[in-house]
Amino acid sequence: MATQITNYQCPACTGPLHFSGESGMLECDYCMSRYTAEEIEKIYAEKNDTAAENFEASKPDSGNNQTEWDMSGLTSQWGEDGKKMRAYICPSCAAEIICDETTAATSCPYCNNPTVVPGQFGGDLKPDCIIPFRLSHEDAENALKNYYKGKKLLPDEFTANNKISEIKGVYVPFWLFDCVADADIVFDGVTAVTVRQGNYRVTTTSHYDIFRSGTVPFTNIPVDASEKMPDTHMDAIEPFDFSQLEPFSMSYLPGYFAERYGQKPEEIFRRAELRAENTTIDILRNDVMGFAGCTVKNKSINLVRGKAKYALLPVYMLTTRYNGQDYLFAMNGQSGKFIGNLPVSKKKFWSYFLGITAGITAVLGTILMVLM
Amino acid sequence: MKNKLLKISVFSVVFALISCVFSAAAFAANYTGQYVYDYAGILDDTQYEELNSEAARISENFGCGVHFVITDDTSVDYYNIQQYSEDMYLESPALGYGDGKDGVMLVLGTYDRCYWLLAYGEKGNFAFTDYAKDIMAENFVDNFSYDDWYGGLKDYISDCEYVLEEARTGRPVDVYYEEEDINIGAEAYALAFVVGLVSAVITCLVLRGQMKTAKIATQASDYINRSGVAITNRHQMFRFSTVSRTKIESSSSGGGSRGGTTVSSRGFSGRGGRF
Repeated sequence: MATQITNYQCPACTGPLHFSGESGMLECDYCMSRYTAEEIEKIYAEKNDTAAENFEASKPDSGNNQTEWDMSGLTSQWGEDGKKMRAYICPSCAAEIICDETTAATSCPYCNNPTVVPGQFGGDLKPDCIIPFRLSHEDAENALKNYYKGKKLLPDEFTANNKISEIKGVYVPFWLFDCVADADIVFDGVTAVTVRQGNYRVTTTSHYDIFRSGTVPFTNIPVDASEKMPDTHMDAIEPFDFSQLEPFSMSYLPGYFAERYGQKPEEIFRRAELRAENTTIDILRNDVMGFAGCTVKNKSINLVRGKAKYALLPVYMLTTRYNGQDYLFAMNGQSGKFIGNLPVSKKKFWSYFLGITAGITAVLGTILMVLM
Repeated sequence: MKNKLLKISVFSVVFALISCVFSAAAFAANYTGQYVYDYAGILDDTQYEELNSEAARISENFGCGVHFVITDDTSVDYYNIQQYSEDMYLESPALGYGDGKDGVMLVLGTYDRCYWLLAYGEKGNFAFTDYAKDIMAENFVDNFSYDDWYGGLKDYISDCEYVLEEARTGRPVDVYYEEEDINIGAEAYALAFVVGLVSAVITCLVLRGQMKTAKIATQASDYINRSGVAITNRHQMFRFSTVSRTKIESSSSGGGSRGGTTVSSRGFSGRGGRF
């Protein structure tokens, strides 16, 4: 089986290279040599091209069925799942690596060498840009510990017995959408004036039609293109600083996991458009001043679609296990923003609820008694 | 022996007659038979007679004079009606009951449309507490403001009877802070409980919200090209308006008083105002 994957090895000692977010360079684990992405890209350009050609040649519809291994039996045993899996040979230890069909970078489970599947980024699958990791695994671990702090409803056992089951840096595929919203909105505005007339309080409520039109341009609204990553987690780790976007290079991938997109732009652009529409309404609503209430009465928003870019964005995914349930957390590998859902201790919840109610009732009740 | 018994009987009858005569004389000394005075002439004879006899009956029944005076004297105004009323009450022997001059009197000044309601004497001040006077004033002022003099005075006299009846039981019409304190306590703690409950709900929802941070994004404000935002049309058009009126509840009833009767150095307690 011709190799379809590339191990980035140190030119000096052939030790495995991985991209370091802290230094922004590829570092050798053995001789500690450092190389820029451009230097390694230059050295491995030919290897990557060969691997990519082999990857294309290995596809079932390529017409080339010459493989060293007969995968037909696997497919029949695994059913549909088998079709979504790929097997690669590790160039370092010759072990077989089985992974998802969209996996673009991983590590060999036997020799732990970082491996990249250049074919996943061949042709129209190649990302336009990438934000390299700025933060390390240690940063992610520390962020998780800090994330627990101040969470009053977190069960004590969760923190006491907590162990990170898995932590991995993943380059998640995103589509970045540019668009311009051209909006005409009519708001229902309300003003209320109250005056005292004798023994009566007279309130005059006036209703207005408020017209606002405007143009709001958006750049790089990110929508994750991975079917595996939960949308809630990928949305919540935003924002990314897109001024740090770099042209895509496979040299940023060693040491991390990566996958190619699983959803095409036409499948997910509506999510970006809804966000753009909501924000446009808010901008025009915020322009309305001097009214006690302002609600949308009619709206017409025309979204002029612009460019869609394919980008890989850095995300740390962490998994912990508690009471037989997995808890998934995500950290923005660029900004360090950490998110994830935590279990709630019912005991603590009700303790707080009853404690606050009883405390305020006692203190405020006594104060009111004295004042009255 | 028979003559002796006859003498005793005659003596007893004569003694009883003499006693009656002295009692009648004593009664005549306290009462002139006139309890109400209409110097402005706004009541007709029938109304006057009815109100006067009713006032006499109540006064006699409770041993506390019930009076009213209506004057159109232009010198009587809102600012001096108290002095006018108190001077009149002290100077007129026909006002008040018994040596202590116990009584209650309402003076109406029709020129400045003002009134003063006073009580005097141990019995008068015991029965007509500040709170009772406030309640009575609320009842009759409405009538007077519509020039319903007879209706207002009738309310006044019937209220006097009610107040005196209550006082006779030893528990005059008043705000009873012992009970009121319990009510205030209950209200204070009920209010505090509601505030506590709402605070607990808000706090717990906030704390719970901190536990769930993975959410779908609905906004794209981080990705706006600010320099390109342009608002091209701003105008508004009035459509309609609605008007609502809410009556402001008076906070004067029972207002500020802690119960009982506030008696001045002259021995009067009173309430006044305009109508």
